[in-house]
Amino acid sequence: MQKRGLHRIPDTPPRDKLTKSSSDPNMIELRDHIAEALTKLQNVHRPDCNQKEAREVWDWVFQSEGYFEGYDKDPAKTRILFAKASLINAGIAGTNSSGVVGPAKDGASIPNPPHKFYGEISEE
Amino acid sequence: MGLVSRIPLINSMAKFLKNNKQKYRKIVLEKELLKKVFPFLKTEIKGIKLICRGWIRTYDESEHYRIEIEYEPWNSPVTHIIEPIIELNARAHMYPDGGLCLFDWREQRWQDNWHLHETIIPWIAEWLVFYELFCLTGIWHGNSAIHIGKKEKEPRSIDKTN
Repeated sequence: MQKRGLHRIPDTPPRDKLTKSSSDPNMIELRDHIAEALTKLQNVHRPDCNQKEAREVWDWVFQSEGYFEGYDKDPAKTRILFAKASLINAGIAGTNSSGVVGPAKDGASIPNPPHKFYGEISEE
Repeated sequence: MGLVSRIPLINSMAKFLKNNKQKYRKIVLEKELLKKVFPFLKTEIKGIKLICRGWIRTYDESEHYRIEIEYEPWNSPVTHIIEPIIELNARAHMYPDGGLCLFDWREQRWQDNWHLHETIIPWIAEWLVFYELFCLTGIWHGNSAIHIGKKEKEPRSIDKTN
């Protein structure tokens, strides 16, 4: 019978491989971003902070790229389209026989080949 | 005109006919593949061009869009949304004539061995997803190639007369 509280984690990697030093560049960057996010989030705690301001802050923190704006207009549509966009951008989308994009999980759909839309205007 | 002087003319006519025969074979193949994979598309051969039209939507309850694809081997297919009328917007990846900018032809030109059912149709389906998201958010969420200055169409390919 196994004793309670005596579970052993097998093959635990050495502790030094799991931790980073405080001067690691990724850790410095992470700390900077968290500090920036916390500064922005302080606005949410202001008693006079309205919904629009709070949205802008959370939009920035999560880099939601218009998700909330779309959600306000049509929540169901926004959810469906963002899910499809995620599949496409992850390279795992397929198009079914009706021309609808979904997961390319089986032989029933044509896998969407990678491409770039031409073209985003950087200067005119 | 002697027989010898007519030989170059006969040769060029033979090449022309051979090329048209290859083009015709290609569009018949594309038509059959489209019929098999995307039966919602109505296809028609006009001369050496394949015209495809059909209604498509992004999800079950979404708006229907009537698409049109015009393909003449060995050029890049020309694609439009013909219904409803979509307002021209370069940020939504459209050419000035309303055609859809589906791929960056400067990076990779249209290939003779590419098939419409494996490229253009899935890319139109994607374009519609991103277009509807663009209408909701004002942001194009698809992968885009950056260009500077006027957006130009892919130049027509020179006929392969071998």
